Parts: sequence; structure tokens; C-alpha cells
Amino acid sequence: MQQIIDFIIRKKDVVVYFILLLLSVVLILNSNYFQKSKVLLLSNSISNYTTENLNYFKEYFKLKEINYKLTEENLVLKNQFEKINRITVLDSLPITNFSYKNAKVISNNLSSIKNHLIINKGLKHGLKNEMGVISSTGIVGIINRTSKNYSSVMSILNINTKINAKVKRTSHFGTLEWHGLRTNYMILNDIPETANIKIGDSIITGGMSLIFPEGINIGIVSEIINQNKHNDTIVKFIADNKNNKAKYLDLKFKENYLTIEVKLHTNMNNLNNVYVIESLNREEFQKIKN
Amino acid sequence: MVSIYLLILKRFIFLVLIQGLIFNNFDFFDIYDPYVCIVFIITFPIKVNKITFMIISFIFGFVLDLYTNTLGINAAACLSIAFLRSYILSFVFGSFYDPHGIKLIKNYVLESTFSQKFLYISSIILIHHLTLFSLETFSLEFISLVIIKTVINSLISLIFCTTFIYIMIKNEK
Repeated sequence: MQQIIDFIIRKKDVVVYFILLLLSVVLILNSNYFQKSKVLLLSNSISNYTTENLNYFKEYFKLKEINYKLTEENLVLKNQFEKINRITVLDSLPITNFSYKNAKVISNNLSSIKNHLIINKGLKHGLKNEMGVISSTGIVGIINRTSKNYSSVMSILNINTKINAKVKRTSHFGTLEWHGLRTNYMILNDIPETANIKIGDSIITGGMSLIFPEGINIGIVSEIINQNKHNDTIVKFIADNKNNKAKYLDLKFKENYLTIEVKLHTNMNNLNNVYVIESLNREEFQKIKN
Repeated sequence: MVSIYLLILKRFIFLVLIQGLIFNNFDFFDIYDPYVCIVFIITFPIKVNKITFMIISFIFGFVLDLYTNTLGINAAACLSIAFLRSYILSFVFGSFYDPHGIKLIKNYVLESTFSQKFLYISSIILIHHLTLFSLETFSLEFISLVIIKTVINSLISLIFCTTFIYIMIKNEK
């Protein structure tokens, strides 16, 4: 025991280093709530935490009453909705409905590998996770965290983003990804080789996932990366001949599928007003999908 | 001793503000930001106890994190270079380095060869960027992306940091 204590005293700076490192790793893993306003985070978080927890507890006793009220309200709203639906939709099969909300970008970052935007609306305004965000020129990202007044949007310039997209002319579906080095180009995968794609074709959202409605502009095909020579391999480095700059790293090619470079319409540098898309049939879709 | 802490506080506030408000929005070639904040750790007085140094660096990184909304990433990177700085100093400067801090950082900069200065500053910047970007991605899948970002970003940071340190030392005289 004495030896252990001696050891700790001798190596106290190493011990302090690892304690603090552990603390920072815990912070990284737990930074899910993610608030823009630092003042709010610092001053209100402790008091909010206690009152919030107390409220959770209190709410359980009121559940029955709230439930009753909600069903009543639901009934009224449902009736109203049906009425409106009957007027507007002439088709016998109801189409998927989307509603739009506007928001402003208050912080935008491009320098990271996993870029995020912050917009000035949150839970209070009815925003939830996995809602799509678009600008007037094209798609911007998907909401991944919401707090009371702000939401964080996972930008399309994020290596984890995968967006369902299709070629407008031929209606082939593919997956859109970012490769981390250039901010106005993305890569469209999973388009079969037989598809007759040409440079200049429009790429639009596919509408498969109910995050984005079908037909929102994304960009145009700027290059079809030739892959016949390296089927099913990983290409380490493709260089831009004009500027001598690295374009892609670790591009994975699948056999019989094309890899297409897409030039985005949206300039992610100067976003200001964006629209959040809420899908109204979302839960129903999820239920039938699983 | 009090005046040293006053100096540290002054640099702390100045560098946090200049990094958080100006240099985080620089965006060279769209995706590279210079990290001038490392100057705080490079020029931290050697006289101060190592544990205090690490705790102050951790807080410094944490405050920077509040600006970028990435809790803990900058803190871990700053903490790591604070921990490794004494080893780097003794490795680079050899017998010229004294751990009790009678010599100031100014002496190290003025009385050493070019390669020593370069090695000291660039190794600290490289370690900082490597921890920063690898913690940011948090997976081995994008390792080549992390490495190329580290190298390019280090070059940009190196230019800015050396300029900054020279301006600071010129003004201290």
C-alpha cells in the first residue's frame, strides 16, 4: 500500500494528466446537449437540471388528466385536419405532406471534418431530430440535436452524412457523401454502371426517407470518375491536375457501380435563411418500414 | 510570482478572444483554420509548477471549446501538449533546458539555433493538431484524412504562431 502511494506521489503529474484527460473524454462523449448560448449553459444549467428533474417526477401524477385532455384535443384537431385534407387533396390516394418552417443560421463552420450549423429555432418551435434543412438553392443538412431555443444541424459537409439522391433525367437512386477536403463537391455512389449518366445532369433528392421531399435540387454532375481500371479497390489519392491539390482520399469503388462527383448548388459559406422541413406522415412511415 | 499569474491571465484572455472570435473564422482554402492559441502553451512560463500548468491549459482548452461547441476536444489537445512540453523541451534543448525556470522562454528563443526553435514549435503544433483532429473524428476509418489535415493545418498554424511569438518577444523588450 505504502509503495502504491509513493508511486502516485512520485508520478503525480502523470496521474493528474490522466485524470484531466479522462474528464475531457467524458465531456466529448457527453456533449450531446450542445447549446449555442454559453451564458445559458453556464448560468442556467444547474438550476434547470434540478427543476427539470423535479418536474419529470411531478408529471407522472398528472398523466391521467393530461391524457384525457390530449385525447379530446386530438379529436378536435383530427376533425379539422380531415376537413382541410378533403378540400385540398383531389387525389384518391393522399400524398405525403410536408410543412415548412423558416429559421436563421447563427453559427456556421466549415473547418471541421464533422461540420455543424446552429439555427435559431428549437424544441419550443416544434423542431425535432432528423428533420431536413434546406436553403433556397439546395439542401443544407439534417437536424441532429435540439435544445429549447436552438438546434444543431449536421451539415451535408460531414463525413457521416448519407443522403438519398437521384439523377433527375434517368431516375437512378444513389447515396450522396462528402469526402472531407473540398466544400463544394460531393460524391454520389451506388448508381449502376448501366445508367447513362452525362456530365451536367441534375441531381435531386430521392424522397425515400421522408427527411427531404422528392425533387429538391442538390447539384449537377461535374465528373464521372472512371473506375474500369480499379474495380473493387480503394484508390488512395486522386489529384487535381490543374491545381495540384488532393481531391479525394480513400475513395472506395464498388464493382459495377459508378462513382460520380457532384457540384453543389448551395454555397455553404454564406448561408443565412434556411427552411426546416417537417414530414407530417413520418411516424406512420417509420412504423410500416420496420 | 503574482506578476507571472497576472501575465498568464492577460495572455489567456487575449488569446482566447483572438482565437475564438477572429482565427476560428479564417477558413483558408475553405477548411483550414490557424490555431494561434497554441502560443499560450508554447510561451507559458517554465517557472510555474507542472500540475498548475496542466490545469490552466485544460481550462484554456475548455474555454476555447465553448466557442466552437465541441466540448472537451480542445481541452484534451491543450492538456496533452502541456503534459508533453517539458519532455519536448528537454529533448530539443538538451542541457540548455533547466526545469526550474530561471531562464525565460525569451532566452530559449533568442539563444538557440534555428533548427531547435523550429523543432520545438513544430512538434508542439503537430501533437496538438493530431490529438485535436483524431478526437474530432473519433474513429480509425478516416485516418488518412486526419493525417493530411494535420500536416496542412500545422504548416498554416506554424506560420501564424512564429509570427505571433516574434511580435510578443519584440514587444517585451
